[in-house]
Amino acid sequence: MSGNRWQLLAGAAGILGLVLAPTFLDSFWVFFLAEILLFILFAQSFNLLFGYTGLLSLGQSVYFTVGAYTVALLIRQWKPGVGLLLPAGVLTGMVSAALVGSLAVRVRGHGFIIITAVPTVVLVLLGQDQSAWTGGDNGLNIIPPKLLGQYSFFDPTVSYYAVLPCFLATMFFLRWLLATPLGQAFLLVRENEARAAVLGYDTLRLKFVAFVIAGGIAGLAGALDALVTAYVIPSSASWTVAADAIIWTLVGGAGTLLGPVVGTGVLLFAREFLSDIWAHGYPLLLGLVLIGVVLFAPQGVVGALRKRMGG
Amino acid sequence: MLLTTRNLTKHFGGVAAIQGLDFQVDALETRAVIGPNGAGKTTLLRLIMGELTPTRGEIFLNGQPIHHLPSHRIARLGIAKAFQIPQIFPSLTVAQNVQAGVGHGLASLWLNGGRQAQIRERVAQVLDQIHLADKADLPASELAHGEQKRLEIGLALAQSPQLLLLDEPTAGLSHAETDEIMQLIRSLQGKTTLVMVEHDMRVVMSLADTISVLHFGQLLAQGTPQEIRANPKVQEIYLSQHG
Ligand SMILES: Nc1ncnc2c1ncn2[C@@H]1O[C@H](COP(=O)(O)OP(=O)(O)OP(=O)(O)O)[C@@H](O)[C@H]1O
Ligand SMILES: [Mg+2]
Repeated sequence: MSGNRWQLLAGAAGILGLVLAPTFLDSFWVFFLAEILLFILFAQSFNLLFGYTGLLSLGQSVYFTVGAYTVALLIRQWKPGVGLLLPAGVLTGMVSAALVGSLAVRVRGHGFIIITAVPTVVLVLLGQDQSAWTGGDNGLNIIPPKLLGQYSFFDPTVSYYAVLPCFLATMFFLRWLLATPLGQAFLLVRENEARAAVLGYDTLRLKFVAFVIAGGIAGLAGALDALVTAYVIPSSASWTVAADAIIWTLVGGAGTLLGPVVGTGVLLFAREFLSDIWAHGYPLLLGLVLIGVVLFAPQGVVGALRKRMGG
Repeated sequence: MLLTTRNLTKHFGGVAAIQGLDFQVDALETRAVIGPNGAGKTTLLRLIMGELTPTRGEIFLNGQPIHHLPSHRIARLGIAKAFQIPQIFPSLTVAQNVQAGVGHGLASLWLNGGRQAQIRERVAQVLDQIHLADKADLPASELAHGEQKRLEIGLALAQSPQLLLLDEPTAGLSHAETDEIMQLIRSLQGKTTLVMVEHDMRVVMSLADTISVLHFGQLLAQGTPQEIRANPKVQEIYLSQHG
């Protein structure tokens, strides 16, 4: 009981801290925090698949980029408001994930990984080839619409307060989803797919549903990134970007909602911090951290802490 | 007839695991399927459960063809299977494992959300039946082998099946643990149709109404325990195997 109360208290304090952050951080860090929050969502999209459903997707960067370009191209054509751009990013993320997912979920093991990875290559090449409307290797600068008709995304505080509600809403959505019978059924697929099928679970449909939801979350992250940075580029679909989400999630702890929060936050902060003082520092540090996690905390930092406190 | 197979055949490459099998099970009977190693017993259960598709032939449940259906559809028609090697959800708790059996596929998942009290009651019932109520909150991976075998049967029981397939429910168990499983099976007899693959003759002889003997994927003999015990063909394959 008291453990639950502490969790609730810590959660409330965390949310309060996030809401008030722009009052005590300078604009550089406010912008940086907005980026961290949207990349946490990107990591959660991988976490939903790998951590909860047991599906190793190498291609979440595809749905991120689809969401980002949806925003960029809609702005270029019709200049709709943010209230339309974000749902559009979620929707195209889901639709593109449905296309890939309908094929990928039918294949187990390595086949699944390869099918999710192929679109990363295709999208980068396609984006470079169609540079007239994607910007090719230079990417595309966009002018985001004003938030509520008056606040500019070029102000980091505005960007931050646009990202924060999306971040919180997605975190609460995931928390709710994973507690429903549907979310519980994802775990069965992760633990033993063949057994789940014999118990009457339509595992293909479960994997498909998880894949589409994860695509929507990645699409949202991409849409937010486009608005916050006012920039999109085809190479964000690259598998190395997808690998970032994988690393953040594994280091923090897959299969927990807190894991990607911790992993993304700590590693992005370390990268930013080290980039100024020692260019090779981050890859070296990352290598060491990964080895450490694999050897000493295979369930990630959060998984290891939870185990220690539980046992 | 609850279950009927007609000319059922399954090839693995060149190996014919099941060959033109006509097999029938009556509602509410307890059927034992015996036979030497590699006779095709596990393959037969996997075909019925939809884990394998037949090379030829048909399977009917209550007269309806089911051999073209995927496992989850067959499960929803009321067939459940307990695997020879426990196939449980290792990092979930024992209670969550049983609950997974009570729940169904995606179609009814949302409905299940509104039936929490009923589901909990059913989970508690099954935990009592398999004598694991005191371990309900333990991760399934921490159970001993005998307990995992009981949980494996519990998963299938939780589905409240009309036809329960048991693949060697007592394999690897001690004498006392085997007694426990026999008691559990006795409590199901007459309420559920049972098809049980089993090597332990003590279990087979004391529980089965009818015994089917498989040999090279075909039905070698079928009859009451007395008839099978007295059958010279059956004696021959068992003697030649063990002698
Ligand atoms: N997935 C498979 N791939 C190839 N061959 C298989 C496969 N499953 C079973 N077989 C073969 O089919 C035959 C029947 O196997 P099955 O497992 O059904 O026998 P069984 O009667 O259950 O034996 P046991 O008593 O050892 O469990 C064997 O020759 C086996 O090697
Ligand atoms: Mg077998």
